[in-house]
Amino acid sequence: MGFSLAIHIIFASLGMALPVIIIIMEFLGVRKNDQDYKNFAKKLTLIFLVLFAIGSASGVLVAIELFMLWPKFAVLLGQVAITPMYVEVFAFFSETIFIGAYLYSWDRFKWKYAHVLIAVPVAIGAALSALLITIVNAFMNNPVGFNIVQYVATNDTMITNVHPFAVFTSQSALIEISHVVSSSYFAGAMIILAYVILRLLKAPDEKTRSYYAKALKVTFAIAAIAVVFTIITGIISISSLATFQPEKYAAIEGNIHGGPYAPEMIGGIPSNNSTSMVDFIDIPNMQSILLGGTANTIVPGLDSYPRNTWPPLIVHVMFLLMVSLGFGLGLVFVLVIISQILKKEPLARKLCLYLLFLCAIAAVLVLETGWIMSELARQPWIVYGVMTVEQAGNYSPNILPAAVAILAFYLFIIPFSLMIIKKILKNQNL
Amino acid sequence: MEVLYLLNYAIFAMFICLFLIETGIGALVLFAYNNNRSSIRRYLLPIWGVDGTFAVFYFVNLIATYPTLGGVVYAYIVPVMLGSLFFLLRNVFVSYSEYIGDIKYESVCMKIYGVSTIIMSFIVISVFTSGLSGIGISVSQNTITLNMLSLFFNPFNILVFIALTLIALSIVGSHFKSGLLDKLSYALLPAAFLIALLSVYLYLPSIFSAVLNNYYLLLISISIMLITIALKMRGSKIARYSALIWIFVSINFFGIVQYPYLMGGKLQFTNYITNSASTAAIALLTTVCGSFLIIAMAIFVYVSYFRK
Repeated sequence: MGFSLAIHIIFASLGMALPVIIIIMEFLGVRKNDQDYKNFAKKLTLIFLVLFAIGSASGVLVAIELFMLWPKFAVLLGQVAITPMYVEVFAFFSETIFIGAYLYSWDRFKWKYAHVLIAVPVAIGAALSALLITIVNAFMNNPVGFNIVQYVATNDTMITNVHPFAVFTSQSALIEISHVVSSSYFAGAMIILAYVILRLLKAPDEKTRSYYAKALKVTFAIAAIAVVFTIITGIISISSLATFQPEKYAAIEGNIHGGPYAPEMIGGIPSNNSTSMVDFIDIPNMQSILLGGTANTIVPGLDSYPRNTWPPLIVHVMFLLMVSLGFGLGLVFVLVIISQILKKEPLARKLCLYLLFLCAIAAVLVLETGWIMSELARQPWIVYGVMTVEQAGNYSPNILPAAVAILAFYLFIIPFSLMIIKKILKNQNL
Repeated sequence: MEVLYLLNYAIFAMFICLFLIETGIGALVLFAYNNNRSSIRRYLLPIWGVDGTFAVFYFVNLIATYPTLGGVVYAYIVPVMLGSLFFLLRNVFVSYSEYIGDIKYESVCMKIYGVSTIIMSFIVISVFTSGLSGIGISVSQNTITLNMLSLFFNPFNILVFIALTLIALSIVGSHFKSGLLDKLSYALLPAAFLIALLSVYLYLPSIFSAVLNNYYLLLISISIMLITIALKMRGSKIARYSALIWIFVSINFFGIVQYPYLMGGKLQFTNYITNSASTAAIALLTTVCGSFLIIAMAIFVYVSYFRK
């Protein structure tokens, strides 16, 4: 399941960012009457189609795995929080329908913007899909919409007082959505940016260079906007955990002990059977200040909770990795933008392109690390405070062959897809 | 009869209609791709994505309608996962074929697509017939166990698969230049109907009795089939669509006579249906979002097929 999701989020991020880039490219092509922009939009559409086919199928696999591997969780989800997932199917539908319409209607409209407009529901559908699935995840982090006390008291059997739409109003949903959506746009745009940089570096002539340089500017601009939102929403997201999932917050920050005047831990690895942290530097009072604005803000600590509900402390290391890479990425973008303002033309310099290419790899790493950290830090819960992963899992040996087959299939399909995309792009000569 | 039950069956029927078009095209791709290349691509390419999405729609609607049916669905985990893999394979190769830009590779990709679609179709039908009849699965007090061999290779499943394949071939026979298939397409529909009826008579006697008790549904279904054949014989293009309407209506009628039993009467749908609050929410969302979907589909059909 984790493996499928790790792959699916890359496809999903690309599936969100690509339609936006395609729309902007075609819009600029029509507005400036520039064939380069239109051709690049066409090229990205071909890539999008192949990725969409794999991404949608991997999404189906993830949905099936979700219900097959976590039967008890599926029952709770089905009775209480199925509405976002259900609406997501329609969002997915609109994406599928309009991508089909977009593909088969190039040059069929006199008013050229009409074709651009057909791609808008694709972008909206993709963003809505992410938003709605994140609402389901927010339900797992902050369950609402049923009588939780009674459910737990009856040993997870009685689900009463169901409010099917309450899941949309989960307090943590908005924060989580804003971070997931912005980071997905960022990662998706960075992957496209990496592709553009590779082509630009290999461009054989001035015409090709000019073609990819235009694509580079647009993709960079989208990534730059997304990185700002990703960092801001990331900071808000971490702070909100202190309220909604204090154990998760404590584990991420590496807080064995809570309280006021909490230092910010730089570095640190779990030791003594994950009951303490070692090898770190403290910045006095900083964590309390970051969380509440004052040094006497009380931060949660793990020792206030039973030992068996502590998340694995390795999440702190992942958090450090994610935050350092995230801020590093932000810094690179700031430097490039300042250079651009000073008319140093950084995007025309090879060094800057190599740096941005490394940033793209880092962006995917940040996306994956952030997701793994977020899921691990909810452990041992699958639905926070309601159901543990152990309670929810399906331990039938029947699932093993299917799981192995899926793993093997992904390992085959990803390199094969990249090879095919390369061949398609070569043949299409766009 | 529960509204959500009927809604779930209608989504299933719609999925099967689209799926049969694809299964027929999958078969045609294997034997007559070169003769029908342009028309296959024209009809298949816009619908394969929508068809796949309908599969997801059906699955999520099933979970939303019957959230506690999980125990039954989990029993089918291996065939479902296997079917999903072929679904992935089908998606991947049809999209490769579209822009590969090389006729030889395109043909290979389409053949892999065709084989994957047919295998997936067999798996889907096997799970469906097992859920209907209970064949291949044993239900004791707390456990449901699956016998894969019996699931796939039982006479009921084989008969239903043959019947549905004949219908699929009849649909593509009306659309494409397929020689013998084109001529046979008159006979395929009644043959499929008789095989399906025979399989129900032999293996689902209780449902067969329910069919006879609701004879007017059977008569409506037979009438639509006869109209379709008559339209086919007159060479009317409407026959293509009336065949699909016939399947859609017949599957829904089958749902009505099957109600409320599942697995040959071992289980009942009514025991698994969701709570009343979720029932209202799902019905509301299906109506609102479904209306939007119909508008989107109309735009899609207009842009993809009619606008030159």
